[in-house]
Amino acid sequence: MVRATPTRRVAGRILTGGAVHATRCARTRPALSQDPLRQPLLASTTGRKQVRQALALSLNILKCMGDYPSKRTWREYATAIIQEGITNEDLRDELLCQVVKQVINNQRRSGRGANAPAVLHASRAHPGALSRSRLPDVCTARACSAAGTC
Amino acid sequence: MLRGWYLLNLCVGSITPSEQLFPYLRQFLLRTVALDTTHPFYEVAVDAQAKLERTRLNGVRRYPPIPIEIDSVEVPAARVPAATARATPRSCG
Repeated sequence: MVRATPTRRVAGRILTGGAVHATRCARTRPALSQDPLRQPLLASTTGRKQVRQALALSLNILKCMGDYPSKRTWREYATAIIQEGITNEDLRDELLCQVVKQVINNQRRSGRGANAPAVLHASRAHPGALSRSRLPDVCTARACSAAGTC
Repeated sequence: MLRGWYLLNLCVGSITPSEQLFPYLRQFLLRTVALDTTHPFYEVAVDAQAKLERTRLNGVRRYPPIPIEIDSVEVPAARVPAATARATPRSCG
């Protein structure tokens, strides 16, 4: 029995998992994921420090969107994320790509009053339905303020 | 997802993408804007698209948005000028 050397193990991993992953990525574009990234989205993000910053950024984006448990408010995370983009010029593209990735195909509506846009469009399509509905006050108030009806 | 669109709105209002990424980001926003007017985030996407063009002209901001500015993103941008127009004008001097 021949023990697999580290080189062979790495090669096997690349040929099996790596190849399947590459094929899957070629067919589907990057979309929402509930877990923070394990590697940066852009190949131009190189260097240990930049990669660490990019991965921390993905975790902050998840927390900001409410997809990851956190104690701080989303405004604090948004400020921190944008501050990171302002100060670090090389991370701007990575930041925008990560935010767009989390927006694509995201069906989860988190946060208070997250259904406000849906309520707003429902009220436009069916006038009067909003007053008859028994929706939570938060959603109703936000939809009304957004529509400018009250 | 709602916060994601708000975050995208704030990001494109503060930082600019590189020349390589800019056309793709604009196309993403335009596709969302142009194809579906009943999209739940249609107004946020319109606002983000306008901010993207404006930030490209003005350059990157020096400071991140203040809390009031972040709160104002949750109100559709089309109604913000109307609300400020109704307010009493104040002299700068």
